[in-house]
Amino acid sequence: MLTSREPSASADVDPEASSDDGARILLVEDDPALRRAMELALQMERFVVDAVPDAETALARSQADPPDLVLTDVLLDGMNGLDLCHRIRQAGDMPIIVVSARGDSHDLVAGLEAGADDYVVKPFLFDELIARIRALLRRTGGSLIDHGHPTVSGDLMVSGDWSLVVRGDRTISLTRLETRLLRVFVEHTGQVVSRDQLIELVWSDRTGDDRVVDTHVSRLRRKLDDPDVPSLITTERGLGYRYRPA
Amino acid sequence: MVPPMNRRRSTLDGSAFSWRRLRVRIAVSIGGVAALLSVGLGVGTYVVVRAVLIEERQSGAVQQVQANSRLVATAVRSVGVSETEVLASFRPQVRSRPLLFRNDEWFTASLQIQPDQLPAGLVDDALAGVAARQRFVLDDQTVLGVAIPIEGDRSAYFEVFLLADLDNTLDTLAVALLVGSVLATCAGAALGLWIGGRVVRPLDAVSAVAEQIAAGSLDSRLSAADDLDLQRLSTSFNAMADALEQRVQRETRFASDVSHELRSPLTTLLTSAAVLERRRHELSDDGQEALALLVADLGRFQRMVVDLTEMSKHDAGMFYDDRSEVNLVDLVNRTLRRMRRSHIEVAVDPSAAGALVDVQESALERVVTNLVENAELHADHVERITIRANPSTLRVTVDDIGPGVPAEFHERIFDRFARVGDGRQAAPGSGLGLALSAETVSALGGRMWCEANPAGGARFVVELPRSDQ
Repeated sequence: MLTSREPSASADVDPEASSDDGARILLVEDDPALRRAMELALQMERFVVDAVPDAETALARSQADPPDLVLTDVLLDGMNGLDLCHRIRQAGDMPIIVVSARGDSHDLVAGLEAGADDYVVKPFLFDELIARIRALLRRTGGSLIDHGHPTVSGDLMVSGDWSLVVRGDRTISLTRLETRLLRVFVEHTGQVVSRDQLIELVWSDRTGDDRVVDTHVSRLRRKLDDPDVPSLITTERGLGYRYRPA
Repeated sequence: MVPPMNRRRSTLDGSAFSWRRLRVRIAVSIGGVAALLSVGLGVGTYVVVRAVLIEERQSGAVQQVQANSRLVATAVRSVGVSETEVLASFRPQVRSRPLLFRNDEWFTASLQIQPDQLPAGLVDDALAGVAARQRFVLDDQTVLGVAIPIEGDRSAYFEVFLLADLDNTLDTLAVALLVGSVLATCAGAALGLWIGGRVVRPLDAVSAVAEQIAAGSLDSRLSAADDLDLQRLSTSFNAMADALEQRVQRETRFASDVSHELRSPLTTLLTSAAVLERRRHELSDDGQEALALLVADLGRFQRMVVDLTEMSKHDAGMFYDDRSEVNLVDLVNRTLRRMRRSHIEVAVDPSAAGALVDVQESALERVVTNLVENAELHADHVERITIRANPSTLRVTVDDIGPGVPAEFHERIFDRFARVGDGRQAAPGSGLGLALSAETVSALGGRMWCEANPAGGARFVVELPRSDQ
């Protein structure tokens, strides 16, 4: 006798597909119960999950077979999540979300400074995490930027696909998020761009907030600017930022 | 909220000479002791000096009278000299008025004294052959009468001394002693006030530091005193403040640790519940109902843990050191956009457009978020947000059309875990959101209150000082 319902082998082989289907997520979480719960929930959202308990294993996995996104807890035994961000960031621009157990702003800024693209604070609602994962994958996945002619802005030169940014004789390596940020600035040369506008244009779904914007802008500045010359991107107090080519 | 200490202090200042003031008690005590001592000494001195002076005068008078009586006795026995002449020829050293009784007859050289004015006892003693002396009052003046019997016949010699000069001396002495006592009393009271001031001064320092601690600066301490007695006070006071600070920190840390330790298991619960929610259709009706209950309370639990964490950070004083001037209207609009509540109507008074407040942006955003969530929990939705400007303040008003808040709860609703009504009906919120908001607004220098929305429902008002005026 047949049961009325076919037992599905596993959630991640559901035939209904969305654009993120099969995206591979490297999950780093030392709490076994939470690790398993998140693994189940992410699989249910049709992600392929590789769940590991510590940063050392995660680093090895990310080097052997780079995932589409890394989701890491900050407090881990041994190497912590921030060091992991740092190490992964040195190797490439793989999207990273840190899961912080503290909501203190300096912890969050530390996470973003270490190279994370976004953060969530425990206890988070799973829907919120999924929204952030999808947003980050959309921002960073595939070829988001149209091919076109090289852009020249002052002493800044950008290739047609925005994969290469050169200032003077320096080649600048940017993450995809930083590239999008720079592109918005270049497209609004001379104008004040508010944090809200940046959130709208770069973090299209408003998962960002002012702290995320500020940290990413300051990271972009550090990469672009020469120490002795005024910054290309100035802070307009109470308004936002303004990009002016040198 | 005004700390109760301020109120008590003002009543003390109101009556400067209240018996309840230590300075006054010390001044009165020392003044009283000075008065007792000086009056006692004065009276003692007066009594002794008076006794000595009178005794001296009396013995001097007796010697003089004895000598004179012998002269008189000799003179009156010689022939041809009347008794009156003898008495009149006397020029005694100390002014006195002589009288002579001889042969049943009184003789006197002075009209100022008559024999019948002498006390009878004195006369009787003398006539009985006994030398005597007696003080008595003559014409309202104290006088000393001395009587010496003259041997041989029934006669006696009297002299009456005026003691007026002695009285004057004693009066002067009494006045001097009285003035001395009054001066000593005043000096004692003044000394008492001064000592009281010295004693109270360190206490003022103690109460100033205690007030600072009560106002929240837990690290305030008394500076070390040079005086050994005061050193003990400052040492034990500081030890108490240390213990208090440690205890507050321990409690704050505990609250922070508890909410921190709750985060991971709670996240596991929320994530597992999310898995179950996606599989809801696989559950029976009872199972679905149980899951709905679980999910609803998990949501409340999550808000509670988040608010508790914010609260413990607030209690630890970790906020508000990162202030900047922000445009209040922009901040409210931005917060609503973040919450995906851009449809809420924000009515801005023209004078409030562009007005600035000096706040920690994230803290004020949380207040706005809490008020919007509060209205949605209790009244389904926010009716309207109004931003108005006064010369020195800005007001954000959040109105809802819901059951409203009974007037007797308008203040209590900002207490932690406050419940409106009989408490049997579970409130959907964490019970901390409004308390945290009110404490945040107060830490930012503003105030927050609840009133009735004239259109029905509740109205929450946040008032902040303008920084651009």
